[in-house]
This record gives sequence, structure tokens and C-alpha cells, in this order.
Amino acid sequence: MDDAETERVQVSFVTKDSKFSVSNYPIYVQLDSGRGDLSDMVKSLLASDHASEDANSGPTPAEFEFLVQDELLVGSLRQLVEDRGLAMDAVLRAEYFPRRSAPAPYAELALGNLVSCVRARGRHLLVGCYDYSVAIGDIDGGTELSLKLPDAHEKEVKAVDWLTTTTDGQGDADSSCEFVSAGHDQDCRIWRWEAGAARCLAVCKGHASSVLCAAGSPGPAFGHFASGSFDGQVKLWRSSDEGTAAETGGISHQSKHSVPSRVPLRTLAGHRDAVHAVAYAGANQLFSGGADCSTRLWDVEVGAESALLRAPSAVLSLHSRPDGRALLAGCAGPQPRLYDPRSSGDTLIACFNAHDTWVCGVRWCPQPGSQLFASCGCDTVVKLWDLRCTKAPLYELRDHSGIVTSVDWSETGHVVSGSADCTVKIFKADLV
Amino acid sequence: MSEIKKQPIESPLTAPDEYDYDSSDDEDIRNTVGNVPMHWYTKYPHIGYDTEGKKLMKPDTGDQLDDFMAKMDDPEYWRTVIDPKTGQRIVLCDEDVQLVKNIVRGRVPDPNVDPYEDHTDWFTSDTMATPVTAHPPSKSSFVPSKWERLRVGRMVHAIKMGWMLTGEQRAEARRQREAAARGDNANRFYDIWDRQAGDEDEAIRRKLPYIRPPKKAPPTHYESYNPPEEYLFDDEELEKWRNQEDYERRVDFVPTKYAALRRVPAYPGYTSELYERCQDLHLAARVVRHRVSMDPEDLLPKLPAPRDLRPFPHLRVLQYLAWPEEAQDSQQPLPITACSVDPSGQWFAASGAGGRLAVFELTTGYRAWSAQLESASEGGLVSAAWNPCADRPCIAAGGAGSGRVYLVATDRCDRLLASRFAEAWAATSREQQQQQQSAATWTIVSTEASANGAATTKSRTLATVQLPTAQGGVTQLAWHRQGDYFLTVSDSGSLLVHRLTTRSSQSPLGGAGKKAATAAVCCAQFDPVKPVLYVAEKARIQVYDLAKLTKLKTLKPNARALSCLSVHPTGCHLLAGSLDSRLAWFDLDLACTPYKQLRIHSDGVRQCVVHPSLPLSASVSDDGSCLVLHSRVYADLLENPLLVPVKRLRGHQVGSVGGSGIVRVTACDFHPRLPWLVTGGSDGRIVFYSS
Repeated sequence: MDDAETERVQVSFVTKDSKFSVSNYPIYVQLDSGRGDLSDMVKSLLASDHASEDANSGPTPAEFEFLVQDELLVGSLRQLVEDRGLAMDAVLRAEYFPRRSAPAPYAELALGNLVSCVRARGRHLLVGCYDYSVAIGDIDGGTELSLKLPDAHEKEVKAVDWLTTTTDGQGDADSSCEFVSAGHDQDCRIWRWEAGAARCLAVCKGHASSVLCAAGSPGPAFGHFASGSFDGQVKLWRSSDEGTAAETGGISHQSKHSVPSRVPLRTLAGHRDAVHAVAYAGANQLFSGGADCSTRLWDVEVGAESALLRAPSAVLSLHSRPDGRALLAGCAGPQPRLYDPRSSGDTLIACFNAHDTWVCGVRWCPQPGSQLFASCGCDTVVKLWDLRCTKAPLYELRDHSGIVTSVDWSETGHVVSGSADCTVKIFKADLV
Repeated sequence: MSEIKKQPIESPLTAPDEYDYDSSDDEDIRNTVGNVPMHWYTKYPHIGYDTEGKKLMKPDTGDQLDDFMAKMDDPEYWRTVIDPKTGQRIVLCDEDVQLVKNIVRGRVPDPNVDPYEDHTDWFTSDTMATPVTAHPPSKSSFVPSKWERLRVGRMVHAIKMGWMLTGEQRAEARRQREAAARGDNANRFYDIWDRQAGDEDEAIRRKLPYIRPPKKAPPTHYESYNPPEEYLFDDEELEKWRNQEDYERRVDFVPTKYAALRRVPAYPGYTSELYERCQDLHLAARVVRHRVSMDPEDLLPKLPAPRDLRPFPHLRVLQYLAWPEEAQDSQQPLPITACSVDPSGQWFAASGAGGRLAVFELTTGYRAWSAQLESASEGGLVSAAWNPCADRPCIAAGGAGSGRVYLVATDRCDRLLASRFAEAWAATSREQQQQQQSAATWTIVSTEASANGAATTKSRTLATVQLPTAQGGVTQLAWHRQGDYFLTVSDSGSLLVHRLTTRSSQSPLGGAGKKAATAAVCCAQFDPVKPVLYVAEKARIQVYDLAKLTKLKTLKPNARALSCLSVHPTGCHLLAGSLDSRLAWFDLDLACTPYKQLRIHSDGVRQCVVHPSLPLSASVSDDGSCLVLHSRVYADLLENPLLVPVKRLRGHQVGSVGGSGIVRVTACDFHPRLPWLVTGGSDGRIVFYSS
């Protein structure tokens, strides 16, 4: 009996959703119980409440997630208590909320070759492929591609990104939007997608080696995008049409047959090796990460480096949180790294114990205030993470047979991933 | 007796003062004998004299019966004592008894004295407002005493003169006296056998340090007084023993059996044996053998831990078949024969035994280009090397059976460089249509692009170099750092150096006529800095100066079948691997023998590479493993290179198809700037490792 007493801990259940609230009076819980046991316990508490109140609230969710002492419960309570060194006689505060349903395979797009980059915006997927093509797919469109540009580049397409979004976010036939693509042919190309067809607006020439990454500035008002190249340079380009004549010294490259060329607005030189990732954090701040094991923060207007974040190995992917408060970096190592770029001292916040090999892509959930992000790696797995749990991912999506080169998360709650097995897979994930 | 009972004499203590009441002295019996022992009067009837000088008669003490009666009847008997002065009985009062008891118990005799009465602290430790004594301190309490000074002076003088001893001297003298008292003989006689004597005595006694004599062998069954039967001599042995000389005998006595120990006679050889033993000890020189006690761990060199030597490749990132379609066709995939990373580090070329050459993207494993240059029946490609000069983007691949070297231009580089190289190639091709004397036949592949002047930058074969047929197929191919020269080693062990700009080939070790003078070449490498050529023969490495055309030195790697060479980017160090599973690191400025030999593979070493910029080396072997070495070279000439094996990579064993034995690792190459490594195996797979 004494042993049983010591193996228990007091838990107080609280929630922010008044629909599922139960009494927060501490309850003795077995120390070995995990998330499922706590969920059953809350459900039985709710059931007894409903029986007494004659059930005027809605149906109870199937499962709950628990934040015990602000950490997402993954294993048993014992692990958490031992890892955090909590006192056994303390009352643990367990905040619970309905569990998201597991991401389910939703659709699959077959491409001609290795998919190097996939970007989702609204319902639309922008896919860069190593068969020199750029394609646009629809999340709800099944296996059909909305648009395929077979010879968008002279060589493999390495990166794509949206520049402007469609006006209504639905991508109707009469709306137009622009996107950029870049590849091993050392050029970036700006495209306008309009009325079911895409037209190349400009070819951005200037890089001396393969362009490995491209990112459009957030918001349509800023009108530029950044690209990083294997030669170690980050270049900024104007994405809108205005003022391009001034850039080229008044020489008009517009002719009837050829596509106009564009020169870089600004070159940010500082990396000593290839630049593998660029990411905007606000209109004026640009992160770039490269094989010289560093992430650099650039002031776009001044064109100067303003901060340097060190990494243990080459930085392969970067994504800044929509509110600009945290930066995710995927390295040539097994751990996605979370930085706080605003802090002056130790900027590294956490490392997530994730993949077997390289982390090729990291992407925040676009939902404002969301704590979720996705990572993909050379071990063919896409993992969904909660920031509050660094030990284990929420979900592992094992559907690809080749390395997963890129992952993105659309506002509609779909996780899309592009892989070397020549497919783009779409998973339906619940964002709530 | 009854009188005494009636008139018990009271104790002096309890007796009331005679002056308190008016009584006469008559009744008080007083013995005025004086201070003399009372036993003087034992033989007399009197005991003394009273104050008037009359004899004081002894009182009647009664007989034993009276005494017994008194004991029985008188309750005061136990406290009745006899006054020795007067011989009268006295009954002690209670105070007297208490006094006696106190004395017996060791207490204070007088019960009125309180030894523990309360202490009154007349002089407190607290400083009071007014002094207890009012007189001022005297002058003498401040002035040192003159008489004491004089007395101390006298004592010092006495100590100096030796008249007086200090405490220490007295203690020493006492010790000596005690020692003398302990043993009189100790100081008088010198004990030459005294083991306790100090080192000084030892040194006086001996010229040489004492060496323990060898121990005598313990007795065996022969020496037993009752030996087993087999140890006893039979007649034949006894005869033989007698005929032998002393030095020939196995035992120098005849073993004899006795019924009991008491029947054993005196040993006749006792004295002579002792004498011989003394002679042995006296004449035989003795030496001290020092036993070295050493921990075997101390003999191993102290190597730093691998975790302190990061970064090095240890993480298997990618593993894929180079030609998956080929693997589908045939059950046994054809092995990768060579890997070569391009100077930018973005791409790498791999050649296969099936005759294919392919270019892969390093970080994704994407195959960007592939071509069938030779058929597999000809032996396939044996070597592929990317031109290390970025200005000349081309790959050289050697055919194993055909003896052809293919020069393939690649578009996997800056397109400006590619087009520039294509133009330059086309221009020189037009100029040099006429071949000058060349050791190999160059065939320029003409393209339609060169005809109309616009050079194409697509991947295509620029030229083929056909080695002389007598030399057989190509076994090895290596570029010079500047990308103009490359060398080929052929089956027959001949070495040719080819030049890209003049499209000519020559034999630097002499022509065919002189070939007999040089042994068969296994592999060769250019020095990256100096005009020096390293040529590995079967068991030695020759170093040639290409500018002066002389031999500089011969390195002896202590191996029987060299298979690969790699020169350190500084040109001062050389790594050589051999098929007898050895790896030798040469410090070329130091010696012609290896600075360090490593036997870290269990089978032949196929290729070894030194990283172009980081302190790393790697070697791949037929035992299926790739070994990464930390190889740090110091600019300080006095400091030796640091070679530490840090990681054994077995990526080809993981998930290998077929499972038929060990997958041999045949090729490897480093990324030019990062600690990334790519290896190719006999299973047709390429494995990419990163730090």
C-alpha cells in the first residue's frame, strides 16, 4: 500500500475551453499513466458532469492532449517528473485541449523527376522539379496538375516561391498571381500566372553558379525577392515591373520575342560558401544560411550584415516564424534548431531530436500563434512538431520512398512534401 | 571489670571542658610516661606514672570469657576501644564514630568543615569604576630586574663554558646513558653482521652494493631418504654413474632408500658441498637484473579522443544505386570504380565497371548526366577524375580493357567557364590538326558546333586518347593540380603523361627502349605544388623531379603490393595504401621510411585520399569499410603530424543487396572544403557521409 502511495502524483486538470472544463481539484493519478490514461480520466469526469447537468454542452472530443507544467506530455508522467526534477508531492498543472486528428494522406501529385521545392499558398501548390519544369497543382485537384511549364528553365529547377498571392486566395481563373523559380541554370525567372496560363515576366541574371534558394518578401507591397547561390552570394531582385528600366541603365530589354532580363537590386556578399537557404523575417530583415555553418541576418535596405548565428554544420533550410519571433534552421545534421534572433546572448533556444540524417526542410505552421512546425529530412520522413515538446514529434509521416527535399504547410491545413521519389504528397492535418 | 563498665571513660572530644564545671583533677587518670613507646611497659605490671610519680598500674583487662561476655551483653562493645596510654576502655561517642567513618571513606574528617562552600568572588573579572586598591603601580614593575639579568648572564656564561647543560643536552646525555645501560657490548664491539646498520656502514664495509646470492635449488625426489623406486639406481645406472666424470653426472650422489629417517647416516659430501658453494659465491660474478614493471597501456601512444577532433564524416546521409536500371537488368550490379568530386563541391562523377560515366548532385543524389562510354564487355571504365582546375570543366575517364582515355566536357559548372573552355578547345583543335610526336593517339571528337563557331556547353566527349596497344588497359588516372596535365598508368605498368593544351602524350620515365630499366608502375600522382612526380612500384615509391628529369629519392613503404597514393595538399606528406592492408604515411622531409604505418584494414586498401583543405584522410578497403583519419600537419617542422583514426564507416554493409559476402568499397573522394565524403562500392551503390 505504501508503494502504491509513492507511485502517485497529484494532477490538477485545467483547460482554456469552457466547453470541456472539469473541476480543477487535484486528483491522484498513477505515475506511470500516459496521455491516453489522462485523456480517459478527463472523459470520464466530463461524462459524470454531463450526467449531473443533463448535458447541454456539445459532444466531447475523442481524445485530449495535455500540457503538464507547460510541456507537452509524450511519454509517461514519470518521465516528465524525473526529467524536470519535480517534487513528487507537488500538484502538477495539466492543461488539456482536444487532440488534433492524425494527418491523413490526402492526395498525391506525380512529377517527372526529383521534386526540389514545393510551396503552398491557399489551395495552390507551386512545385519545382528536376525535369526543368515548374508545375502548379491544386490541393483538391487530385492527381491533376493545374499548370505545367515543361521547360521553364534550361536546367534543373532548384527553388520556387510565390511572390504575390491571388486576390481572393482562391485562385480563380480571372485572378492573377506571380511566382519565382530558380535553378541550376544560374537564373531566376519571374512568372505571372493568369487565366490558366503562365508567362515569364523576366529573367534575373547575375548569379555565377547554381541558384539554390529563393524567397519572396512577405506582403505584396515590398516588391522584391531574394535568392541565394552556390557561389556564396545572396542577391535581391525587384519583383514588380516598376523601375526596372532604371536598374538596367535605361536600356530597354523588352522586345517582341525575348523575355526581358533583370539585374540584381543588391548583392549581399558575406558567406564564404554556398548559400542554401534564404528566409524573410519582415520586410527589411533577411536571413540566409549556408555551407559555411552560419546563418546571417541582413538589413535589406542598408545591404549590410547585422547578425551572425553559428551552427555546427551547413545550414540547409531556414524559416522565420510569421510573427518574426523565432527562426527555424535545418542543418546538415539530424536536428532542427530553433533560434531566437532577437536575443543578444545565446540565441539557440532548442534542438529537436528528430531525424536520422540531414534535415532538408523546416516550415512553420502558417496559423497565427501556432506552436507547430514541420520538418523533413533525408531519412524520407516528414515530422510534425509542437514547440513545447523537443523530445519527440507529434506525428511522423512516412509515405515517401526517397529523400524529402521540401515541406510546406498551407493555410488550409494541408502539409505538402516534395521528394526525390518524384512525387508531391499532400496530408490533411488539423490545425486547430 | 564492673567498675569499668560503670565508669566508662568519655572520649576527649565529647568530654566537657573541665573548666566549665567545677571538678577535681583527681578523677582524671593521667599517664605522664612521656613520649616513649608503650611496648616498653609490656613486661611490667604498671603502664606508666601518674602526675605524682606513682606507678600507674595496668587495669584489669579481664580474660577471654569476660571479653566474650562483654561482646554478648554490652551493646556498646563495638564502639569500645582501649586507650594504649592508660590501657582503659573507652566508648566512642557518635561524633567519634562519624570521624572514623569519614577517615576510612577518605572524606574530610571533621563533619563541620564544608569543603564545597559557596565561593564569593571578591575580585571580579569586570573592570570596576573604582580600583580595589588605590596605590599606583611601582616603578619596579616596569623596569627589568637587574638581579635577574645578572643571574641569566651567569647561566649563559656557564652554558658557554660547558659547566651547565641545557635541557636538550641533558636529554641527549640521558639517552646515551640509557643506551649504555641497555647493552654494554653494543658500543664496545663492532657488529659486522648487524643488518640494522645504516647505509654508511654498508658503504664502509663493501666496495660494491650487496647482491643477493642465487638460491640453491630445492631438493628433489633424488635427495629423499625414501625415494620412490623409479628414482633409485639399478645396477646399470649405478655402473654408468660410477664411470662418469663429476661434471657429467646428473646427480652427484647415489640415491639411497632407508627404512626410517633415523637410519640415515651422515652425509659424506656435506663439507665439500658447502666449500663448493662458497667457491661459487666467491668466484662467480653477480649482476642485478632489474625487473621492469610497466603497464601495457603506457606503451600505447596517447591519442586524443575523436570527439575533440571534429568535424569528420560520420553520418550516412544518402545511399543509392548509381544506375538502378542496370541493377534491374542484371542480378549482380556492376561495381563503382571511381568517384571524383568537382572542384566546386556541388557535383561528383562516378564511373562504373559497366562502362558508364555519370555526374551526380552531391547533396541530393540526383543523377544529372550519364553516358555509356564503353561496353561492359570491354572491361568498363576503371577510373574517372574531375579536372581539379575550375577553368577547365572536364572529366577524364579511363577504359579498363580498351586502353582509351575519354575526355568529357561537362556543363555542370558556371556556364561562362563552360562556354569559354569550349571555345578555347575548339580554337586549339583547329590550330593543331597536325599531331606532333606523341606517345598516345589523340582523337579529337569534332562537333557541328565547332564548325559554325558557336561552342556548345552541353556534356559531350571532347577527345579520346588511345594508349599504345602493347600497354593494355588503363588502371589509374590522375590530374595535375593545374588541370593541364594528367597521367595514366596502364596494365603493363607503364606511365604516360598527357597534356591537354598540346594534345600530346609522353613517357616521362623514358621511352620503350629504356622501359626495362624501370619496374612496373602500380600507381602515380603529381605533387600539387612542386614539379615532382610520385611513382609507386610494387614495393617502393620513386620520387622524380620533372623539371630536371632526375630521380630525387626512393621511399620504402614496407609493403609488398602498393595500390594507391595520395599527396597532401602541402606536398610534404604522402599517404600510400597497399593490397596487403597497410597504410603508410610518409613525411617527405623527414625520411624515406614511413613516419607511421597503420594496419587498420583487414583486407587490401583500394584507395586513399587526403582532404584538400581539412586535416582529414580516408581510405577504403576490400574489407567493406572506409576509415577516416584525422591527419593534422603542423607548419612547425619540429612537430610531427598527428594521425588518429577517428571513424570506421560501414555504410555499404547496411542494406546491401544479395548478401553474398562483404561488399568491397572501391572508391572514395572528399568534398573540397567541407568534411563530406562520398564512397562507391562493389554493389554499385554510392554512399554519402557528412559530419
